[in-house]
Amino acid sequence: MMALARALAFRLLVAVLLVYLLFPFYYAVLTSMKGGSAIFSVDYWPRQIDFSNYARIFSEQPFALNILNSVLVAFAVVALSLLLGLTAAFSLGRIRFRGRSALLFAVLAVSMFPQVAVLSGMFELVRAFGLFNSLLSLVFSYMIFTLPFTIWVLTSFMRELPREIEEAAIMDGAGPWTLIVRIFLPLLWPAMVTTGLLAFIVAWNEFLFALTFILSNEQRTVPVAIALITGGSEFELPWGGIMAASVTVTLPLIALVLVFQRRLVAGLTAGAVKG
Amino acid sequence: MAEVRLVGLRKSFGRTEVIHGIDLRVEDGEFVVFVGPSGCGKSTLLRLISGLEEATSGEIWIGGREVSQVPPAKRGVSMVFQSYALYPHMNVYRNIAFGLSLAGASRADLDARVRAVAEKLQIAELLERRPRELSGGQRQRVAIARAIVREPQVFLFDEPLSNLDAGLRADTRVEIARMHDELRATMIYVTHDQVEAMTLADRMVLLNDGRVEQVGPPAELYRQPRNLFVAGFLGSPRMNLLEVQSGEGGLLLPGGGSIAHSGELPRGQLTLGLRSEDLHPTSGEGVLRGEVTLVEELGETRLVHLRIGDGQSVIFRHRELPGPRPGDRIALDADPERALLFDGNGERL
Ligand SMILES: Nc1ncnc2c1ncn2[C@@H]1O[C@H](COP(=O)(O)OP(=O)(O)O)[C@@H](O)[C@H]1O
Ligand SMILES: [Mg+2]
Repeated sequence: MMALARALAFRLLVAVLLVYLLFPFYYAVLTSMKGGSAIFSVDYWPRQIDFSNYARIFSEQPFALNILNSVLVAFAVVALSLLLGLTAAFSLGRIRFRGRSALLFAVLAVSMFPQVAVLSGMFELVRAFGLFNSLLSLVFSYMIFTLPFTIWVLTSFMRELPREIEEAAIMDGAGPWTLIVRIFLPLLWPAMVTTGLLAFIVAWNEFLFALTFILSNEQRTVPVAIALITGGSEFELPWGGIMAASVTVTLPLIALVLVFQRRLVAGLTAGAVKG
Repeated sequence: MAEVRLVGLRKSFGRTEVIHGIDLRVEDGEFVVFVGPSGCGKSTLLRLISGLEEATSGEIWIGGREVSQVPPAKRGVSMVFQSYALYPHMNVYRNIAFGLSLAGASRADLDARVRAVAEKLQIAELLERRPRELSGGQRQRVAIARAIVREPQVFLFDEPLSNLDAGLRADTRVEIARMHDELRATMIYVTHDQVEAMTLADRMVLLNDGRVEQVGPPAELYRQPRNLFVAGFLGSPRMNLLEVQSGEGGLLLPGGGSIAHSGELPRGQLTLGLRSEDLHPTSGEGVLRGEVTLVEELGETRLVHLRIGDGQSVIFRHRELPGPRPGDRIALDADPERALLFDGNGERL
């Protein structure tokens, strides 16, 4: 009896949690399939399946191009963050030099500032490098979010790896680059997947920099494009379209997480790389 | 194959010097064991030879070449690590082949060599497995195979057996000895285990606090230790060390016994060293007398602890049956030829 009651209570708790986590997304999907004034009636079950909102976001603005921009930026950010993160982790985790922990904390300190605080400074940098209104400005600026945690996570994983493995490779004739690519990269793969995915999500969802550094519709990334979707008149907020766009751009994230699910779990349970 | 020569080798970490100028010559094909208490610098010395650590000063010669500035992989040495240090993400085949492939060996050559070594170490059926799917003994073999396949001039082992259980350790020890006979390669082996050291070594190098205390064949270090440290380090149980007075015609032992001694001796207090197997019970007067406090049964023999007065006690090895019991009073004779004498500085006379 007790066991049954406890099992039931547990199920109930899980159900409550799931509803809490999934309801907003569910409601967005629901709204995205409503047309016209049906938007303003509150429904909890789909009454009609209407994909016209989805069709419209692609026809009324360069939304496909915006998605492509986001994909380009996100992949570039992930690739660069992982490359820089791994090489930085190698030196911070493995090589003894003066000021190593100071450097590590400086990296962490960067991520403590709120985004608005660095906005104007970043704007000056972007202009100085001539990157204004270019996707490169986003790749460049997003790394101040992604590099700190990438470097920290990879460095702590790197420190967990037994030193003798690295030394065995050195005895086998591996130079620093071979070490990184043939030994550390495969061993840190779970951590790389986790941090890479987080970096992807950051880059995919970022709004403020994307709004500030990009002027033209053709260069915009998805979050800004969604915010700028306009309705039939200036008095109409096109909720249906906004929801359709949001759902569209969330699906790739869900797909990514599902694909890397097992690696992700392995990466989150730190220290799982010992041989 | 090659000889290894160390000249005035020193190593400091920061401001602490841990290797204080070591001169040593390891002959071509010799099996030399570095032994010493934990923290005395055995691993550091081995790592200096391998190139994993850079010497603060001094020279390292391998096969007639000064290698201080040569990277580890180009020194012609292979190392077997204490933790085996296999690459966890590679199967056994790729673990063994890694060094060869980095050195640019051709595919056919590489394959032939890996398979030959795997055959020799009886791990041919394991080539597809990952390290985590192997037992400790199998990992050890893979680590040795990885060292052999590069056909180094010198093998370096850093406590390779300390992660194995007792039975496997004895087997692997025999196997390493056989491997040395077969390959005729120069081998330098680090251990803190004196049984390993005594059984494997052509010559032992006993280190203490970054200095060489004595170098020689195991029996020589055991029988003719140069000083008290060497005498105390080798042998289990530890050598009995007694405070004695040298006087006219001999040595005065605690408890009133005396040993005749020919030759010149400094007067005054000396230390007498007697190993447990060099003391024998006697029905006569003996040189040492006392009361049994403890008997450690070892099966074939037993170790008997004897309190001889002045708060001193000795341990001797008893062979005959029945053994003594605590409380028994026993007299012991000593082999005068086997007795060792040390002066006030701990140096043997
Ligand atoms: N990387 C290092 N940094 C600082 N001190 C070290 C380092 N490696 C070894 N030592 C010191 O050097 C001494 C010798 O160490 P080691 O060679 O490992 O001894 P052993 O192998 O004989 O136990 C020890 O006191 C140890 O603390
Ligand atoms: Mg050691």
